[in-house]
Amino acid sequence: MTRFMLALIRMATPRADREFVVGDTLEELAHIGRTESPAAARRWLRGELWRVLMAAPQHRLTARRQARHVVRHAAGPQMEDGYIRNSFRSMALASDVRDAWRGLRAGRGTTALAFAILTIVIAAGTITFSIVDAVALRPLPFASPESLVAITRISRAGGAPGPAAPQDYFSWAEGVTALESIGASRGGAPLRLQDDDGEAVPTAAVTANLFDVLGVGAFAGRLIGPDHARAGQDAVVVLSHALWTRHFNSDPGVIGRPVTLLDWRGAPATREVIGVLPRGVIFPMAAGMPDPGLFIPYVPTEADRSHASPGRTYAMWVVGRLAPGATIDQARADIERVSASFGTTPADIRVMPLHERVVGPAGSWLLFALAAVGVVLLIACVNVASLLLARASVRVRELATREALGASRARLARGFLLEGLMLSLTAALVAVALSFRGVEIARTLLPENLARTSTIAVDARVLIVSIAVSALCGLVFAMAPAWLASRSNLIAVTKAGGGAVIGGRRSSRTLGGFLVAELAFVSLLLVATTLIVTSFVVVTTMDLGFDRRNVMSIGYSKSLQAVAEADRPAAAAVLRDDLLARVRAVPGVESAALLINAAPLSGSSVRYSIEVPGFGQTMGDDMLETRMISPGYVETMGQQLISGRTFNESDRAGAPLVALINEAAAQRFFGGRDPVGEVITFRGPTTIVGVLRSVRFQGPEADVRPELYTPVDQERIPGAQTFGSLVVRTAGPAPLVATAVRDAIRPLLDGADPAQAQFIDEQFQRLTAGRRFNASVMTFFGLVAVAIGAVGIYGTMAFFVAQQVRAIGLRMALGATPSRVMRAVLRDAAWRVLAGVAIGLAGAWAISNAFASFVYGVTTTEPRVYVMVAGLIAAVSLAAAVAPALRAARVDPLVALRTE
Amino acid sequence: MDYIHAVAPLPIPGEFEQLVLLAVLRLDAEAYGATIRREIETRADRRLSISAVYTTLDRLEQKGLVRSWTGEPTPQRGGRRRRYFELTPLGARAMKLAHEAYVGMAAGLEQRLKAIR
Repeated sequence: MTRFMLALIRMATPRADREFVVGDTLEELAHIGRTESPAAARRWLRGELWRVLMAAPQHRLTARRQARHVVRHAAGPQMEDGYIRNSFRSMALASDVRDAWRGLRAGRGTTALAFAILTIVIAAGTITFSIVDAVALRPLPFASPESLVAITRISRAGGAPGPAAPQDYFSWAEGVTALESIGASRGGAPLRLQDDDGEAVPTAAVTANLFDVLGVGAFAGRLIGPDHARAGQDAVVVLSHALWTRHFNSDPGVIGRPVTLLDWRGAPATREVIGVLPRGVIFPMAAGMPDPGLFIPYVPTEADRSHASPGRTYAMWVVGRLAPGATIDQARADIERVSASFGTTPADIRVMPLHERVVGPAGSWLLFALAAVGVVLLIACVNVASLLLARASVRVRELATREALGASRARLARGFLLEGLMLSLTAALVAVALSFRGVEIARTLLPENLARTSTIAVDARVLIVSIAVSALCGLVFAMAPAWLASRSNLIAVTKAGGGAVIGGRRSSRTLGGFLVAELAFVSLLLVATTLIVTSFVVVTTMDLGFDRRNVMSIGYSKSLQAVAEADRPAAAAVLRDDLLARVRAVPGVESAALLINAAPLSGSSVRYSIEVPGFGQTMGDDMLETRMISPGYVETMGQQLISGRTFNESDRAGAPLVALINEAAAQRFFGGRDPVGEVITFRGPTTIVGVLRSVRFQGPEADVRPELYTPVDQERIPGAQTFGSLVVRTAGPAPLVATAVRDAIRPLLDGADPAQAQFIDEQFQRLTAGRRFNASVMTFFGLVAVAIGAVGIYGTMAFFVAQQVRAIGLRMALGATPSRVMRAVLRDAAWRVLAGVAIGLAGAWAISNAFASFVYGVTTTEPRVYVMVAGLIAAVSLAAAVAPALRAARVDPLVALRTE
Repeated sequence: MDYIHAVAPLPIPGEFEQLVLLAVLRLDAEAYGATIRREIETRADRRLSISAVYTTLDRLEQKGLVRSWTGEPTPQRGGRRRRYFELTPLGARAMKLAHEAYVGMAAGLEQRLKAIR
């Protein structure tokens, strides 16, 4: 960024002063960095660049004038022929550039409008491209990334590929032969840097060979290797490039220095910084996880290696490198074979190219957004083309004069191309400057399901694409006027009189065609926008089967080690009653209940099978989402009872076993008859006492599943640990009460910390963040497109009216009323709008399949969407055409005819 | 030389040119782009770019009010050289006249000018 800004300053400075200006700028940058702060220095450089760019055109002109003065006076006969010829040629180009600059300045209104349109669109395009490029397009920053394979676990049917357990990793690392090497990175709680603001930095514990597997070398220092995998040698840390730049000011001296890191409890540990990773190199690059800034050695425990250990922590992101000659299919078969040896079925494992795991499903959406930007860019190009064409048409006198003075047609055409190029490149320059900031803003708005977001930046690659596309656009939209200028008989046109324009009918036809094309693209884009926004509305307003607002869940656990085994269930029940009593007494709490197993929208899922008379054992997809709940849970969550009753205080241990099921289960297992009173088998004969409305546990876009609820007090709490979650409904926003609730229950847990509160509405926002982002991006693109379209209609119709002033005047002199004239203009506009919308909608219909995977709850050929888009465009177009129509109606026949 | 100056009208520096001339005068042997810019920013509270300073200095040099020479390259500037400036006798005289004119016009108005918010 700094280098780019310096290069721009250099470019904008007259050659003679470059060395001194750049040198001074560097010196000043260092001075401010030293006396104030690096941030202040960067801020100053941004301001400096801005001031330089604003002043640049004048500087360049002054410099050129001086240069020409020198050339003219110095280029005497002693100069060589070639030099003179060259300098003439460059003077011809220079004068063309000057003419183009004058041309742009003469039509200031048009230029400003075209400039504004191009700047907005190019900035939007640059920002979008830099995101798409970093997240989806760019190859992974590892050696031969195509032979890297991700091995992931699927936690639930249709779920995203997630991390594996350490036990999985060690078995794979030993048994799989189709992979040359396997490494892993284990996510953990962030560590806090003790030195200043205590920034919490996401941290990854990496296996000793991970960086070898990835083929990554250190940017500075060295990386974690086999030496560090032993206890005692593991007090080292490697920094990500981003953290090193941001937090350590890119100081190479940090290597070898100790840093103190606080874990989540605040306990300090000192590690030696041994190295820095290259820029952009991070692992695991997992969607939904912040990119780690600190890498520490992973030191496995005995339990981590043993399949016999009772617990599993799924936190290992595993990556392997294919052995020479091995294919990913062989690796997959090999991994499945090894996994079977520890009882994991292929359905639980997903093996895929690392790139696919990193980009994930968001990749296709990003490409869709990029396509949308492309369409907006096309709209802008067509629009600017028609603006320039309209203006070129009225510059006929100037052009004819120049032709009469000997300018060739090619030279005139070149002038237009140069104008287009200058316009688009200046716009690109400003747009790029804007995108540096824009990308920073956009990054904070990105949904969490994107990986590699920390590498998003406007870099050389993005700049090249952005500038090249802009230059191409400049040439394309300047083509129309250039072509007209090279074809028309300018002198004849001038003789024909004042009101004529180049090409006459031909240019009107081209302009009309442009308008139709522009509106077609706008309609196409609006259909996509409407579908995506509708999906967002459908998803966020969907009835989830419970009330997600003002509810939180707080996990707790307590050891019952001290209690005799026979008394543990009673002790657990007493604890639960105490917890509820305390929580209900907290001001702001409306109701509270207990839950064992995952809360709605938490992303996890626990399923059991039951035996239903007449149906049999419910296996596979018929397994039920199972929750143990206390009385009051149904009311606290805002779930609805459809028939029967909910649980009450008499559903205790020792009482007859009872259960609630949901509608989906009643439908599936009882064929629609009322199941209340039926007896199923789940840990013994259990009577169904009620039916609840189905809940969308995994989020608005997941299907409803059969559910089973049993009373928490009838649960056989195994082991010496009792645990669960409190679900708490509050009167106001739940976060305000969370601390008070946690404080209230802490004494009951022997001072152990209850888990952080999970706010269910927050989870919902997170689940729908992708859709929200898509919808806002598309809304933005849609609005830009409609605005540009409206400008296009206004401009084109105003041009037509101006062009036909004499004809209109004549008609009015012959008795046409103003309202008839107005209607004629509007009718003219209406036909073009109709044609454009029809083509655009037909196009959208034809490619609607491409939208299908981005849309939820609405079909891509929904007629109402198309009607709405047509209506919207018609309304906007009409509004935009009214002003030109009114102007036509106000034509004074006398004035119009007198100009003849 | 002096004869020519006596007959040719003394170029009158513009307002911004005066700021630059004063900065060069004040900085003495240490007057180059970066220091001049900093001096004007801190004393006159004007935000300006280094290249604007050079544009003005180039113009002043053409008018014969300043002259410049190039220093040695330094590593902190990436091996780039500094261009130092100083006032020519003509420049010094022009600045003196401009200053006298300003002081003369402002004499007795100090209190009133200060009172303006």
